Amino acid sequence: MIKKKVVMLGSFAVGKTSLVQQFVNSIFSEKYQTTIGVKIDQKNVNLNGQEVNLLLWDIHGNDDYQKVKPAYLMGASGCFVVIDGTRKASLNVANELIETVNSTVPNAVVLILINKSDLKDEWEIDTFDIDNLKSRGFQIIETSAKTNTGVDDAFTTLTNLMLS
Amino acid sequence: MLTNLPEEIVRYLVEELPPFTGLLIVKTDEEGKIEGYYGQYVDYFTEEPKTGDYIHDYSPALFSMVPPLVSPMVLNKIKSQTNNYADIHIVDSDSDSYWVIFMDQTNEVEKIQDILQKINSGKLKAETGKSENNSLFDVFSYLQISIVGDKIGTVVGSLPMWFRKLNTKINESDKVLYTELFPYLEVFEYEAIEFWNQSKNGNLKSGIWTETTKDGSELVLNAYAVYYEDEKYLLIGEVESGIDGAQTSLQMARDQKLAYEKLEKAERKLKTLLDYKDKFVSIVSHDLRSPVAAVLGIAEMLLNDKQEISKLNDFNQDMLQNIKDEMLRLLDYNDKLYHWSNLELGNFEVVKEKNNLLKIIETAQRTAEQKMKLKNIRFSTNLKDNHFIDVDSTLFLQVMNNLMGNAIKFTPENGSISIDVNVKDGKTLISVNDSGIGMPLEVSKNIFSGFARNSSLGTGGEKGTGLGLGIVKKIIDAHNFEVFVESEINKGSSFIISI
Repeated sequence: MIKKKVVMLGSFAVGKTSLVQQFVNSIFSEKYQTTIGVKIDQKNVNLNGQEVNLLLWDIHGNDDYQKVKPAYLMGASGCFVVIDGTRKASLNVANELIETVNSTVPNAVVLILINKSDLKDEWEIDTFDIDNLKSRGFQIIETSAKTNTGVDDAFTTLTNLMLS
Repeated sequence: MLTNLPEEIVRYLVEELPPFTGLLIVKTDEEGKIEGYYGQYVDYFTEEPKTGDYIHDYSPALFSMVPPLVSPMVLNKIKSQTNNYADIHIVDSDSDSYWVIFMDQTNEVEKIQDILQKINSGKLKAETGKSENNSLFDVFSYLQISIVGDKIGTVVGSLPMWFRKLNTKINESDKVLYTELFPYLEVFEYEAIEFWNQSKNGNLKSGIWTETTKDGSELVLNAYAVYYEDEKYLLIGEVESGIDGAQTSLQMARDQKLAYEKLEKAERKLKTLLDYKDKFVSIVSHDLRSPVAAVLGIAEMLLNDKQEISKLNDFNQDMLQNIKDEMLRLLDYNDKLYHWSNLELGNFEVVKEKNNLLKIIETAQRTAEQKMKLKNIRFSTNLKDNHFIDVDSTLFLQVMNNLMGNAIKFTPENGSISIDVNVKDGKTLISVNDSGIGMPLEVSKNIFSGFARNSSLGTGGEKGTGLGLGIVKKIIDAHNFEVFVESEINKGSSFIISI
């Protein structure tokens, strides 16, 4: 079976853990509980008859309190960079993390997730920001860990990109 | 008990300390006098620390340790009064306060530390009396610590209880690649290899990571890279309650940050709405000016045409006069509204030049003359000579007009208004005084706050816009001057500008 390491990156409270929990265990909790260190999960996905074992590294949010160690990215084939649609500040953190990914694992596939699509009325990330990311060559998927919108699509797309 | 920790201490806890257990943080002044504490004191002190007591009364080892020699000062494994061992860090957060952090007091930590020291000094064999390998591994098995050899090694000894919770089919004595068992250790491997290459003493902690167990719960683990008789080992153990302290502190800090971000967002939204409102008012008042002025012009033209007006009966003549008066009032209100919204939007520039104050006062007096005549109000000023001040003449005249208008409005018939100018302590004080009805303190306190919801009628039934004094305040602020009011009921008011 093919094994791929996938890292979840982003500012704190953008929903990285919730996305993993929704994808792996189909659960969602309203309660925000900050992640310390790294949470490791696994899930096998079947893509066109091919079994792929995704090793999910849910890394703590990047901020002044906890900085993501570039070493965490070693060996990663794919990276989700998660942005909270309702918080513009999370876009700046995402941009910093993309640079870290590019310098540490330049061959890794990066997929940007704009999470909390269930709160679209409150989004601060606008079409200008999204177009800007697209113009830089990034693929973007809007997700909601809460309503399970776009979550499977995100993991399937990343797996596809990693395999191709 | 403290409920909040400063950001730098939270960062210190998260970056420098995990994993740890039994966190206690005591805040002291530079003499070690306790100002508060955070966490569980029972593991370190026999009684609850009291504000004002000295830290060394509770932990004698800390006598003369605060203030610390260096920041942070780290004292490893000091035995506390409750016979627990503690790592103690003393952190200087600012010039006045110090934070004494106690942690790692559990028996397990003590045993681990002890064993690690013995491993490094080669004394374990003699103490256990068993064969070398077994003795070491037995002890670790007892401590529920899993041991794997360097890179591809054998799980040594009996598997700890926590290991069985994991979703893995590894058996004792199985050859195992530890990075496959615990992918997190891929990261630690680089640091561990460097450690093994450079040192044959001590140990290196990996930092915590979380695995999901068979039943879906979380298992927090930590690893140590150690040497034992020239062999490299990884000791992997469960951090039972180790992250609670860090989790709580970080959670608190991030919750606060999220709340702050929400507040900022709401403020931005409110500001956008206010800007929108001001722009709307500005555009509407500007566009209304022309039709209102046109109606006013027509009314004046008709009233001035004696031949035409004589054709109207008295009632219709009065109606026409009313149209003119109301249009004048509407125009005045509209002008003020336009002025106000532009001031709010910052659409004005203060161009300060030397201006003759006497001329400004005389112009304001001329503008108000008609209204004063209607109420038989006397006007006087003590300023007889030229007195120059640095002001924007247009804006400052607006201020004087508004203050004069306000004074006339609240002064009864046969009253008086004066504008006095005095120089005191290098400041020019211009006071617009009236012998009017005055106002109570609760009114005068908020008199400059902008839109007055219920602008009072004047002594002659004059209606107001409620904007005049708000405009005065805006213009005075823009000049970096001050304006205040002194008032007494039934005696009058003085609006004083300090330049």
